[in-house]
Amino acid sequence: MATIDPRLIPLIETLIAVDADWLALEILDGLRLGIVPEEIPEDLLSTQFAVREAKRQMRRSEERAVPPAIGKTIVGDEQVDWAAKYVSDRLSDAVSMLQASFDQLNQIVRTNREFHAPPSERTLEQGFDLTLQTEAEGPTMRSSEVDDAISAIQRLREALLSWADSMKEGGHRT
Amino acid sequence: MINGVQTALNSVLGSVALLNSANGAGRIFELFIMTGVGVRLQGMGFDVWLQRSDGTRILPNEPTRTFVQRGGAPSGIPPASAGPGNASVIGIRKLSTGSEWEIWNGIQFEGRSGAAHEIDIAVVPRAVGVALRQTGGGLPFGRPRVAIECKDVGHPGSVDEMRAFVARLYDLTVLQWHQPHLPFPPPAQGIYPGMTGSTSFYSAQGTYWNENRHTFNAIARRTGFALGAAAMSGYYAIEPHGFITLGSTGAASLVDAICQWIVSYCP
Repeated sequence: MATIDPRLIPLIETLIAVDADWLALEILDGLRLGIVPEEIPEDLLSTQFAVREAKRQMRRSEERAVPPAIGKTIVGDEQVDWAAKYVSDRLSDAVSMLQASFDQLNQIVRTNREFHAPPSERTLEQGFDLTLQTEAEGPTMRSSEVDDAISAIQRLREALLSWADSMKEGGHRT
Repeated sequence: MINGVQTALNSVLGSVALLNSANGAGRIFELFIMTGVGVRLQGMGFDVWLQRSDGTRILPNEPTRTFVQRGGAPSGIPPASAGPGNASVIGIRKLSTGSEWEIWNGIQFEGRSGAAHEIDIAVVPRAVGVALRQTGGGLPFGRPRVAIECKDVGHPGSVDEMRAFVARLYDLTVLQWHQPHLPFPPPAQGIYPGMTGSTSFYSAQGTYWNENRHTFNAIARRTGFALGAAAMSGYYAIEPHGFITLGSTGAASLVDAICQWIVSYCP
């Protein structure tokens, strides 16, 4: 079980303050688990092919699945760097996948085979509205808003790097 | 220094309201995969469209084109009479045969035990969706032909995660010898309602081994799998796909695998 470095507290508090509690919890969960040994890509690929070819693989669950893999604890400066990178990568991945989703939604609707109107009658330039429905009403997003977030991601990455450097240089350690 | 982080976080989260909820990033991950499948199938010659919850298509010349993604508690298919404001789906048609399918997101399926199981991304015959929408909505019974469990979490997938998915699919599987215990008339089908069983592809299989391979099943993760997690997946025909992010080989591999299966096996 990892000990949370007190230098992470300002980051955790900041995430809570901006309503990103889920991200704060993910950081704590990631530090609790540590670096876990993973399946290598070759084994994942061979399993995918075995499924498609309906092959019976050699039994290996008993020797590999038990006991569960134990994670390597992340400590000290590594913990600060890990948390800063986690936040920027996590949000960057989510925002870039959202932007790609908008593009893909637009591409699907644009090439609708049952729609035969000339291009001049189409309103493609308006972009696509996406509603994430939560209960009856959810937030509505436009692709232009995602563009704003994409440009803010780089500033976030730089701010997190600066914060991590300042913590490692002058922050308190356990 | 932390003030600069807070300002930048506010800019990102202020622009993407979805990320203010705990499951927002997970919903984005699912949308990314399902729309990726739609675009890929379009490139393979399928007719692909966006469809509102009342069954109507979203056309490119409409002033308001809103794709609704379910975000609340998981549920079944709403009735068409409830209007177009519930969760949208992606429709696909194989032009060579005319068979139609729907790609669903976050829909619950009813298993043989009576329990409801959410499947993050499911591909089902369109007839199932049509029947449910026309008969007051509800949960489909049985197993989707494509079932993808999406995991947008930071830690690697555990063997327990795989076990949970195996158990879910086990309960959803309808085999021929289950027929006497089913609330549907024969012949036994893999999924209900809406199909007639006249096409052999939709018929229930005789064994779990066969049904596991008569469907496409995968766990799709943004990160990887913990050592040992993939050990049982080959036997139960669940493809482990990891490291799925924008532009990654993992994402391309998953979308290719789903689409190739649909092309090869769906009638």
